[in-house]
Amino acid sequence: MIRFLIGKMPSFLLVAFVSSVIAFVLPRLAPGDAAVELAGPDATPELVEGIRAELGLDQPLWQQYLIWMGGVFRGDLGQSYILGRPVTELIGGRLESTVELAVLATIIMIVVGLVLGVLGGSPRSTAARSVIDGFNTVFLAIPPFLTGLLLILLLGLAIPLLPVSGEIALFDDPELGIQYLILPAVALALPQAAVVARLLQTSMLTARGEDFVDLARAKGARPSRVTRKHVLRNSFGTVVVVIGLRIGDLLGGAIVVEAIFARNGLGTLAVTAVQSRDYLVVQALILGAVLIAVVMQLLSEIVLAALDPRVRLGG
Amino acid sequence: MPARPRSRRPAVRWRLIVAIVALVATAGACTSARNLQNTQGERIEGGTLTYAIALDARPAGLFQTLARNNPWVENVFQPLVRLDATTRAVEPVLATSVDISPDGRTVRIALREGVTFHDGRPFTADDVKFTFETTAGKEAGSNLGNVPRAFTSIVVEDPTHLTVTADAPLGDALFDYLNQTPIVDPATYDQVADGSELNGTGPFRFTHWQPGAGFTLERYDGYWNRDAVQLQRIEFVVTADATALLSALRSGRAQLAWGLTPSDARPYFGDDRYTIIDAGGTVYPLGLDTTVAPFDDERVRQAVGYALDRQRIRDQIFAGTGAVSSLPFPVGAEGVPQAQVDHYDYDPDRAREMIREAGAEGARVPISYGANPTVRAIFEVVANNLRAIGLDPVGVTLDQPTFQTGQNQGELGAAWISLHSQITLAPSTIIDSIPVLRDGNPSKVDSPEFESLKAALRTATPGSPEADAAVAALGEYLIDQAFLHPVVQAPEILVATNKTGDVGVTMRGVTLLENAYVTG
Amino acid sequence: MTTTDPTTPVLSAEEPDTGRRRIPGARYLQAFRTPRGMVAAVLVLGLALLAGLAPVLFPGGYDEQTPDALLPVSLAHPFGTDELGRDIFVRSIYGLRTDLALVLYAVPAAMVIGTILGLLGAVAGWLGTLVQRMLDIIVGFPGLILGISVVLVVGTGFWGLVISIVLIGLPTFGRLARQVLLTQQNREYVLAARTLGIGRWRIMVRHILPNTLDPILVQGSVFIVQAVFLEAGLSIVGLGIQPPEPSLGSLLNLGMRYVEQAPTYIIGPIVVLLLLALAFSLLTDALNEAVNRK
Repeated sequence: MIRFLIGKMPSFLLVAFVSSVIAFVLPRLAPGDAAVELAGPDATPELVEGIRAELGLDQPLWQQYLIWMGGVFRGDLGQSYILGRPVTELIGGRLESTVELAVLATIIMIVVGLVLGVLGGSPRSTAARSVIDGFNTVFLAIPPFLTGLLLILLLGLAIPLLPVSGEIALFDDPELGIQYLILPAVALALPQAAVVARLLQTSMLTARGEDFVDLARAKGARPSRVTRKHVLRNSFGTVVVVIGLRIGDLLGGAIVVEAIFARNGLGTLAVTAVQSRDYLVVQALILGAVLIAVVMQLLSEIVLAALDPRVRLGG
Repeated sequence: MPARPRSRRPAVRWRLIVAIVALVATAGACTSARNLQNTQGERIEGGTLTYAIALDARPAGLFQTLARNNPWVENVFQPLVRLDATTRAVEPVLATSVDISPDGRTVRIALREGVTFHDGRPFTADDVKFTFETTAGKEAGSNLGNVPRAFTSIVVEDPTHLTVTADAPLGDALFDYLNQTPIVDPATYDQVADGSELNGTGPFRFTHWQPGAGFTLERYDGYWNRDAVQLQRIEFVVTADATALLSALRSGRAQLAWGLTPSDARPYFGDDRYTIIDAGGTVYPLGLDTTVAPFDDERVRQAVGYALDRQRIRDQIFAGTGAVSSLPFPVGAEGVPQAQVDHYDYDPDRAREMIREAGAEGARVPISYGANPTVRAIFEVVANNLRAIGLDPVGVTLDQPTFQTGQNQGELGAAWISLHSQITLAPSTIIDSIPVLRDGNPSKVDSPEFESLKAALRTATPGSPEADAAVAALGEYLIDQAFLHPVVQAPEILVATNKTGDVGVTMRGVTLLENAYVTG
Repeated sequence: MTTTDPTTPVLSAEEPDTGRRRIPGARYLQAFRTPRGMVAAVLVLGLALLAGLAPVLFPGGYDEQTPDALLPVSLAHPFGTDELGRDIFVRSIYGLRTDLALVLYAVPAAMVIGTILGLLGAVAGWLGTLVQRMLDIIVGFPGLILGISVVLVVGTGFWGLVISIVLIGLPTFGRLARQVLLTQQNREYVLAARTLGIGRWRIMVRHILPNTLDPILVQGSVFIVQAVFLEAGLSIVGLGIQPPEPSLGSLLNLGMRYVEQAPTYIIGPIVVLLLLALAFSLLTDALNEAVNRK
């Protein structure tokens, strides 16, 4: 296992490093400059230069990068140029909203995906199967924001059950908070759940055709036992990997879902930061999103390795 | 895939159904996050008001009369006086009297006693002097900075009295300045910009700022008018999206909302669970650069005036609120003739004819505007109107800071749409206050005639026949030159639910929560 | 372990080269002989015609304002009118036009550049590996985050979207092409051709490139839908097409404000978006079937 991890490290570190460089360089390729904005309306060129020096924007790029990375390792992401507040504080203030959304969406994705996948991959009536297939096909085809809009029209307006806009932190008022959270989380989760379900289903159906399943069945094992012990266990690895990969996508989708449901989370912060060219905020968020996606991928590979001795030993 | 016998286990299904029914029942018993009840309870002593605001506070712009500071600023910092929204009568706040000498050049200000800052330090005339001096500096960004810059001396006589002198009469602009300038604490002023220490004299202390998400105001127990204050706490929640603002009100999560446009709030008009409070006033003008073709031709500029369908803009974008006028002065301001207000009525045929005469058909007209939904909507109608008379308008969307910079440097291109939330000021103040009229305006109008008309208005004694004549003469000039076409003057609106009351609003549209209360 | 998107159709990378394609287009036309293919063809053609002929059908353009704001659905206005009294149906069609124009630029560009990048491995092994590592990094960026990064650099609007879409598409096409390259390179006929002294370029053009065509084309059809959704996503958050120019996403962005007063404002563009997605999903299925039929 440890050897497996060590083997994975270089490529992980490489991706992390390159992402950090991209996250750092991209905003600086943009036209416009935080110093100009900060200097305000009546600024003289000298004032702009002064502010630029104060912010360290006059140093060579690589030096700025090193300073920034040094800060990142100390947990200091710098100060927002525009708001004059530490970036960590800004992100911290919005984190709860996005974490609540992402966690609930992940849970829904896993539960719905597994349930539908197992149902679809087990012997069922044609009717049940076509319902499941229909669900998968529809949600594979439409992205979270469209699911969200349809949910707003259906459960927010046609049958007004849930609030469609705004949020309350779960810690402030769990009862109301969850009502605000349900629609966005479902919208975010369903398309990903369909991916998980479809994959699990395919993998189970393939496994069902394998010799060892036939053997188990020939030995007289009950169908449910065959499904649980033989088919499901063999399909699990794929599912774990896919769930890991989907979480990265889920974060990307959260940006639009937050916009649609007017949640004040990290996605909204990213959009406003792009609009006001608040480099340090944008780069921290880009880096964070990419790192989470990469870590999730790594984690799913580790789980896969733990499940499958071939991967673990073969590296 | 061959069909296989299915295992039927009804027991499991039943359990599932029971669980679902139970879940639904629980959900039904929950408080709904959707609808506000129509009942009104008892007033809560020391209650908490939740105020949903579209834009976060920006303490760094304390003196810049930013609209985004309107929801909180005068609950934390206070000015010396306030002007009544309709009569412009002077009401004392931190000053008990402001006496102007007959020649208008010496002002004696007496201050309220027993006022303290939030850190407990007594408020004195030195604080006022510091504030005047600070706002005279360019860095403070006060749009009435010309007023304190005209002061030749500020003499502190004793802790509650000071005298200010100037070379020229101080007129209406002095009161507009005093009305909009919050008094700050010199010791902590350098911490205002990043919001780390906002030490004012108002009924509430500014705390727990989470930039972009919200902040809290807590009652200040040392406040000089403590007995009038009902609320213990006001929680400001930044809610940028209009739908979310409405939903926050409807669900009862917030009792007060700032930043809705009238068209957003249209569904709430006439609903007795909500009160729409008009606050301040904003004018949205279409400006033209008189040095750039085709607007270097007076006929083209005048044609634009006739091309604008102001009434439709008012109806569609402002839900029928607000007023239309051909002049950038408040409708109903003293001395402004009604004929001038109505001068440019919607007459596209005439406008088309004028464009044809001027030979400007098909002229490309870039119109720049800041990224703001209301301004963008106005642009869409304006562009449509101009296309109808034979011009070829194209939109140039600028982010807010870029637009602001261009506006202050007097460079916005051939045409632009701006917004100025100072339309409630007196005409004599407006001419030096809004960037599109003052010196260095982006229309590049600086003719001696314009300057002398402005000077006449500035120096006329407020309320005198000369002042009225000066306003009318300037109005005539503005209509004739047609470089600035105000499209609509609209109040900002606050929407309050029936769970709150006694929310005050100043002339400029600043929310006053000193007397506000919430009910159960 | 493969990290390809599991939703993408698993394609003919493993199939033997059929070698002879006398009329290359004819095979793809077969796709439209199934009922599903016919529906797809009708839908795609219909939408494309509607978009293409929009200026003829609705000569008033997308900015015909009237005093009748936020009207409900009626015969005259199938999706109602917007806040400035413009017909939302007309605006949706013009929005469709913008989206299809976007697709027309971005998708072929992504296909061509992606394929070339994927086949670079044929020039030198290390180059192929390097390219794949670079594509891995792009994959590491969740789609919208990549889009936002691009917008940050090039600004909002049409070309920002084109660049985002191309970048997001590169890994899919690049990996697909490489997969084909790797399988084909080890085929006996390629090895044989090589021992016969046939040049790399010739092998590439004659054998490998034709084999990439099928999967790339099918993937291109899948990617069209993704591209449209990406536009919609970025425009909804305000970083895509800027109003008043309509696109399906910018219409949704505007319509969200009026969702309670006039729900049809967003229903119109959603319907068009769904039709578009349906059309190209069916097209993908039909194409997939056609290329797998031997």
